[in-house]
Amino acid sequence: MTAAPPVAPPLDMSPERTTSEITVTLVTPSLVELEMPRDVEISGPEARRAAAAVQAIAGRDRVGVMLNISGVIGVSPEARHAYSESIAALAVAIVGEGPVDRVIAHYLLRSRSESIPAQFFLSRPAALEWLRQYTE
Amino acid sequence: MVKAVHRVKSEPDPRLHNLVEGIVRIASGDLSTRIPHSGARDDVAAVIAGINLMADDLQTIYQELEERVDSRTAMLREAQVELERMALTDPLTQLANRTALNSVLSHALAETSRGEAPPALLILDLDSFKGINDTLGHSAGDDVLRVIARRLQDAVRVTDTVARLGGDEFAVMLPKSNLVRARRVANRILKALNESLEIGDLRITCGTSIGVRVAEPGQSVDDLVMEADTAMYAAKAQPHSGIKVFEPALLYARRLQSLMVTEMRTAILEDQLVLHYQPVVELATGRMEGVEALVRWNHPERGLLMPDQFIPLAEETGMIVDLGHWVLKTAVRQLRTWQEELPLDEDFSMRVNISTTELQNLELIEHVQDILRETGVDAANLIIELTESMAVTGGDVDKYSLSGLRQLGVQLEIDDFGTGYSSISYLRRLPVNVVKIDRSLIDGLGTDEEQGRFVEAVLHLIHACGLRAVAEGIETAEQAEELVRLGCSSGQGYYFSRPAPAETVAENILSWSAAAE
Repeated sequence: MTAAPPVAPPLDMSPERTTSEITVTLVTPSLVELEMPRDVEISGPEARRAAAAVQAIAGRDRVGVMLNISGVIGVSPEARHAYSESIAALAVAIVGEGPVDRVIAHYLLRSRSESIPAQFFLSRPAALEWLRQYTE
Repeated sequence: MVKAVHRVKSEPDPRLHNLVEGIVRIASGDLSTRIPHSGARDDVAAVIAGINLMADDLQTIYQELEERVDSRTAMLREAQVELERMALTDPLTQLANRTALNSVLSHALAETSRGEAPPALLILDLDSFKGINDTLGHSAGDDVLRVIARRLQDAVRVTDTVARLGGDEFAVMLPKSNLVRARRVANRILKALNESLEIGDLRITCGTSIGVRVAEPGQSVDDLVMEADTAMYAAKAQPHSGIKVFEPALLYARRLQSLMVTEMRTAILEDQLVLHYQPVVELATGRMEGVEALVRWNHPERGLLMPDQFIPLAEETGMIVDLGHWVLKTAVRQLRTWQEELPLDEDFSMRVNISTTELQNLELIEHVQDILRETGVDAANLIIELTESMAVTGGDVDKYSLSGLRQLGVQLEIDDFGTGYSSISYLRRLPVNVVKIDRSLIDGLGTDEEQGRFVEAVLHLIHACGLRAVAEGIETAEQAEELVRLGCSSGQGYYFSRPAPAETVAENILSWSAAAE
């Protein structure tokens, strides 16, 4: 299955954050992938727009979310708040590639409601595999 | 190679130094500190990211805590201010309460001891408030109190304190004052409160009595309040209540009075009161038409007390209502006994005096009805005597009571006609049946021709209004004859009989009846 083209517009147009676009991709009708830009700290407004984009895609349904945080420097408290408030997800798999991502991921996991399953993965396929149980 | 590895190992990672510095700053309280990231993604970078996120958390938590503490502190402060306000405010009128008054008095007295002019305290008590509460209900009473409170505030300066002490008692504290100013303010208040006020559809006049006391140096709050209060009671006891400035003699009078109040309560309960009856006769024939019941107090130590020695106090303390009930009940029962035992004319009447306070008591009508029903006495045989001022200046409640009594069939009589508010126009409008001409008009009869003509004119006036006339204070045969000549049919006075105990009156009735046969 080919990944659908990005559906969300560039999320942050401010000059110092020109590279900081969160890419939102509809992987399957019930799975959205969010890819964080590398080497930036994710801010509140960006995170909120990403959440809104997921909501727009999911419509009335809830979808599985794969959140790729590989290479991010950090997540602002506001962004963490936006993440914890988003409601459209059936389950969230956070994907990273090393100890920095793992640390950041667990801060995100902590702030999440326990009623939505969420887990950190060091590989994208493992994350997809885990999400399948919720999205199929 | 080994060497190189050794060198690499021994070179300290500069990020560790930054990490230590950052942690030290965070530990010392600078929660905005963030440790710079190097772009690396190794374990050290993970520790840095973790510390930064922890600092984020700490900062957020501290901020939230501070905001919460600030908002809770502000709420507490507001609650405290409101509590203080409530503790010092009378909830009905929003005036200061007794606690607040005591506090300002205490402050003012402390200033006096430092050489400032002393405060003056005015204590006020409304004259007919109990009647308003009893007859119109507490809600109307509350409205009256609110209006009075506003008028009081309008009558004083903002620096003066107006307080409600409870019930219908108010106080005004004038800081740095003197007697001249205190009197002036008291007069202003008296004027403001004497103006009638509208409660619903009714117009009520609620006069006041004011006690004035200018503090003495070194005087305590309690003494100052007690002395102003004493002056207020003295003001209330005056015939036309008004203003009374404290003087030490009042304290003695007050102690005596409070003793008397206790005694009077006992007197009503233990039947120390007794009724004497003065005959009212048909002037032409000497036939006894009825009697007027007059209360006496058979005091265990002071002997037989006349009404003027205790009625004013009973009026003042509200005990007049109980006393009045007793008089009415005893008099009507006595009439019933006479009706059963003596050969009385059908229209033989019992006259009972009632006071303003009783007239303003809604239970009056009910009470009269009850006693008439209990005894089986015909309402037409009961004549209730009221003063001119009650009939003329009484408010709506008085009018309500009067018309209620009339509806029962009770006859109403104006007492002491010619002493107060006599005016030709009001005589026609009054809901009364009989007018009693005051003794002062009878005095010169038989000797002073001019007085004769005057009384004749008064009688014409009374008859022209369709009312019957009774003359009181007849002391001589000449006066009686002259009254007959002038057209007055009934009268009472020492010439015929002094007020006497029931047994004596009964004997008189029997002997007259025997003589008539």
